[in-house]
Amino acid sequence: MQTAAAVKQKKLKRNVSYALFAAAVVFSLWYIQFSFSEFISGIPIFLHFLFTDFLPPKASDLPSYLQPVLDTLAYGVVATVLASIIGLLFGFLMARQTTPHPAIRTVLRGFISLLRNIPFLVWASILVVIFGVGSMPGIFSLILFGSGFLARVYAEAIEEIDSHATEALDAMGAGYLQKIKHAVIPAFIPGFISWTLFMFELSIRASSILGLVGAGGIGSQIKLTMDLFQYNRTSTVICILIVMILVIEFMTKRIRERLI
Amino acid sequence: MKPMLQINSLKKQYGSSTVALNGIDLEVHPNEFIAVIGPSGAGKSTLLRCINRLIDPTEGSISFQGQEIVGAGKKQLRQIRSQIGMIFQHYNLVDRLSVLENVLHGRLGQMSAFNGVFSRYSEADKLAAIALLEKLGLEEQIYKRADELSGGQKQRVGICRALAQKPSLILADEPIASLDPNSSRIVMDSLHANCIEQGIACLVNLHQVDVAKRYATRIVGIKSGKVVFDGKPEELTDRMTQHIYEGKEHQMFQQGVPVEQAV
Amino acid sequence: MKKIRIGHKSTQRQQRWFVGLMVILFFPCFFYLKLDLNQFKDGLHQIPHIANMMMQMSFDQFPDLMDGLLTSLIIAFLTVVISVVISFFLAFVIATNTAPVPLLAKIIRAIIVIIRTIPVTIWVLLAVASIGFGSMAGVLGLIFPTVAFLTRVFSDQIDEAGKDIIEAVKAVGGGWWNLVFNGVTPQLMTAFLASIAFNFEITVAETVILGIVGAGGIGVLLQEYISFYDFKPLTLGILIVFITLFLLEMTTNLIRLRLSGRGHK
Repeated sequence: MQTAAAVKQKKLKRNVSYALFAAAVVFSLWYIQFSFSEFISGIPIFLHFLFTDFLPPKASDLPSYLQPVLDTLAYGVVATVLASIIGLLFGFLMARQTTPHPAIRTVLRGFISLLRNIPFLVWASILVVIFGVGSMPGIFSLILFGSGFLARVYAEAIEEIDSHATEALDAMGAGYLQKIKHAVIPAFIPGFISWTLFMFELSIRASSILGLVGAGGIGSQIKLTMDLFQYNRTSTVICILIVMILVIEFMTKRIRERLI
Repeated sequence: MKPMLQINSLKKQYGSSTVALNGIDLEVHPNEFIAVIGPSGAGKSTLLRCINRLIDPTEGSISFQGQEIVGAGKKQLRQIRSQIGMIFQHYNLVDRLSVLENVLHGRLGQMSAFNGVFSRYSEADKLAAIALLEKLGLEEQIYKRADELSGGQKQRVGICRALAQKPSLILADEPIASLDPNSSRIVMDSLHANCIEQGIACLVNLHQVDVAKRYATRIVGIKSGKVVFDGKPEELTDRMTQHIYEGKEHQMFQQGVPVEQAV
Repeated sequence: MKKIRIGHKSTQRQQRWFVGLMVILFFPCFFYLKLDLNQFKDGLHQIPHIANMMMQMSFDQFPDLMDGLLTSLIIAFLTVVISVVISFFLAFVIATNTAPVPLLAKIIRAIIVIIRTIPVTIWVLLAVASIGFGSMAGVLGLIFPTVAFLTRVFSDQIDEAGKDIIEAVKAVGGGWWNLVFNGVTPQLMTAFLASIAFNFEITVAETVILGIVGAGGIGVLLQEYISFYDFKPLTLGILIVFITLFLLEMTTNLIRLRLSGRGHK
């Protein structure tokens, strides 16, 4: 009897969750006035747009995009290097074994979480207001976002390090800095290389959209060409972007394989 | 003769109920090679780690060459630790550094923070470290990365690192528990020979009674956090051994194979 | 006297090479960008002023912001629901051991790689350009990267865990539909749910900013405040976004933990 009741209860529970889910969907559709017919008819419009307005890309003015591509790459390099320096400092202050004081660890973790959970484009927009249009807000928002990201992943990589070697140095009477230099850093290097390369990839992807809020890079070309309705130019820029991202992914993968 | 290390009623309690050490008294004199035997969980490892305070004891006193270790300040503790070498079951080497760098780590405790951080080892220290490695038959491995070595080789590097400290006491925590019989013999031979030759007192945790009897000048048996035997190897009777290992008799031999067969 | 070398040659060389590369690339890139010191100084002078305005947080816009937030959440929710349905089938079409037509699987995989290379924001931008501003453009634009992501993840999960089951179903002569619904799905349900939870989290993080490119939700408001220099409600908006994303991260972590716990039993 009891099992039958249990089964019944389980079934009821499941039906209730289905009903709740359905209600959520219906409410959502109503709230944003989502019309399926319009949506379905939107898909062919979108595809039509993609394949007639958008494609084929206009290859004739390729050289004119060299500058934004170089800009984007330079953003990536500068932001990655600076963010890795800041991230290293914060990462070591945040990781359990290397933090000078647990309170510092807690405070920094809160701060980094604030940095990370505010979307990147919001930072970029605010920085555009502060520094004006151009590459400066772009770089700074990449650094801001990157420092938060790297601090977190570096700290995690340090915390994952096996504690055996540190214990040995402790037993020999080595001091705090000596332990960091001789036991923590050597074990942390593979993580450092891997995450720093990943940050470079991320910053290339991110700097492609920075231009949308006026913060320079190849994204500004996307916005510019779209605002002028020159969609086949937009598709050229996007193709360049795709190639860039794929090439960089391939390169960082190779470096990673060789170094670790 | 005055003991170099004197432990009085040492206690260690984890949490509110788990008692690892329950009043240990022990004296170590220069030139002694002491094997601490007992089943796993008896508290051998905790005892060794209390001596250099990798674990803080709950109660009791430890005095090393006239200095009190329990309650020593940070600086004094580092100074004491630099005179005590330690060898670990899992070798505890830094994998991505060279063998030579790992051995030189033994010098860190006696260097200034600045020199230590920037690896400014003296040439004399480097030569001494190389000589040590050659002595232990690792001349081919000096510039290899630590993670390229076999277990037995790693443990010999561990011994070199401890010897590089020029310590007056070496603590070895289950140095051969992860090794095959042949490597075990080489490791124990090296450790024993060097300690005797340089007059270093040595405290070795072992769970294999046969190995203990072969090398030790004195055997200490520990059971449930208490010293139940302390005497010469020949005084350790089979009955005593059985008492120490009660219920865990299978741990008495090396991987179940008596060492004589393996040699 | 020559100093005795102590390090491991190739490890040291590789590390120096990497750090050296960072340094060597940094300086030319830095000077290439010609960052203007005056612009920087002017910006710094702006900061106290803007920070001051942001400190005077106002709650006047709270209802509007909540409405925007709800819209953002709904866009994410609908996107994930629709994408799950599509990618569920696509995953079985491309997973190595369930693919009915290998050539088709290859083509879809290639398309997925391309879709995933293009940043999400650009997809939405394209959708806005083709069907106009609004929430529907957001959903439409987001569906492409979301389907690509989920299809990849689902098919990996099918490949990883489903092998034995698939062989078993094939052995008793079950057809493709049978395989999908009776063989693999019940087994992988928890894994799928965990990825969906994760995906929902990412999608919300995307939708809160999509307003900036014109696709509805709380981002539209944020963008308006910023462009009209209206910093008082902006702080509240940013705070709402932060709290939402933070809570969401915690919730999905919890869900994943519970799901994986159940999966082990």
